[in-house]
Amino acid sequence: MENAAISSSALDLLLLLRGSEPEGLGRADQVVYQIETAILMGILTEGDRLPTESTLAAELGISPITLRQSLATLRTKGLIETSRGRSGGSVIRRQVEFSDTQLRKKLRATSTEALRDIGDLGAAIASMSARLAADRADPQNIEHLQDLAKRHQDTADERARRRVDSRFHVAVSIASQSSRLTSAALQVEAELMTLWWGQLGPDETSVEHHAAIVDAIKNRNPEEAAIAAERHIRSGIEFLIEQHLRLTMEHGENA
Amino acid sequence: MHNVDTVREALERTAGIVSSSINAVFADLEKIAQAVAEASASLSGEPQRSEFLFLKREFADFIRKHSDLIVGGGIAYAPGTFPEAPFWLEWWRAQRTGDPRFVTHDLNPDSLNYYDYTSREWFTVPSSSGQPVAVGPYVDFGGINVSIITLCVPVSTPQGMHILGGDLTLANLEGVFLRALQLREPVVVLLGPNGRVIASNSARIATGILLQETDLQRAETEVNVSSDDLPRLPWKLISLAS
Repeated sequence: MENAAISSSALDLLLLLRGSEPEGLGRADQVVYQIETAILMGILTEGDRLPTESTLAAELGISPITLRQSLATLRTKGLIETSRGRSGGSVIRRQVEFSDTQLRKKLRATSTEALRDIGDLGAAIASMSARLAADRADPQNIEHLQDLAKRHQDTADERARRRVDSRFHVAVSIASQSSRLTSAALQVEAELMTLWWGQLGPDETSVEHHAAIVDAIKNRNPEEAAIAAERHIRSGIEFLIEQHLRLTMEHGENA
Repeated sequence: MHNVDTVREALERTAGIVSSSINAVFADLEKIAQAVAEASASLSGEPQRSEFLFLKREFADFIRKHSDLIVGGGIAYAPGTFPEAPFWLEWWRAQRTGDPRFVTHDLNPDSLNYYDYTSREWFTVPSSSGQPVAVGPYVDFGGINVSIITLCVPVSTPQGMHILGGDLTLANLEGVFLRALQLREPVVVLLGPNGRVIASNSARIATGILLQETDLQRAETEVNVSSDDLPRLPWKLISLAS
């Protein structure tokens, strides 16, 4: 059985991904990138049904003709399947696939400077989001954060756990009630997602960090929340830079 | 404890590899400088920009040949060289495909976006010393928005001192440094003259930051990348005690 059309919160997140795409893409390719990234981040998952073409085109602010081009590209890539008729529409078929070699190559090619730079931005977004969330999060937001922290701890699959970790970061921004911080957090997470995938993360520290962030927000302590969130992002980026340095040196040895 | 001799050996080897990679870029810039000197010497009457049109090809070939290290290059003329344009700068930036593209700069002193190249370090330092030198790292905002180091070669002409440059990205240099070093321990930092980290093998001491005083106090072994009195690469390799 297919799911019903995706929830409006998933659609909202999909729309917030706009602007994170690489420069120089045409409008149709921007939408391909947006949907692909949403699949990558687990915002859209297998079996999810996209809204009707006219609704989706209107939400994305593009013409139905341009959207059809985007959907055709996604079909060619095997990421969606489209059926005709009254119960027709486009359904997400599978997760974007990368080989370990591709992922390692990507992390090697991303310089320490670039990693540090995105880490600086990520830490700024995360600490301000957590600070505001400590003042503004409602019980539902807090429950959602606790749920994500627990799911992160319980998920065995590396890539799935990474998706939950990144969703936790976005949820802190959502709890800050700022759509701009949420959009910025989402875009940073999108950029980092595939860089993380080839690596086994420092999960025990992540679990502790998540708990510290949730506690500070729950205890209404903005200062603690900001410090905990910044530390979490910084240690993650430091870990990625470590892996980048190692991969670059190993590459030199084998070259 | 790290064996001091082994570490020194690794630093010296790294210094050698880094400087020979970069000296190859300097050598080709100096060839272009020679061509500029010859063209300038044979000028008769008022110099025209059109007499240096040949540089477009020279720099396109130069940028392509060294694309593993540099992302752009060009020439900044001594002020007042051309009566038609008192300030004149021609710079090109590598593109993913095809010839490098011309980078436009606002050279009108009354403009808010005025690019006063004559006050930039990459112009003033080699102009006053008359010697080739690597300047930076600095963030090239409005350019490519990443940290770069400019390899500068001055050319003395009857019109004044022109500066030729090649822009080296830290991302590219990091690869050369790490592949040469092949050490995870101890922490080794490649430090620029402004105290900024050009590259390091530690995630904590990331490219582009200023090396902290507390880290500097842990310096154990130090090796200069160039051994000359007026070094082209005024950089140091420093290992830190753990």
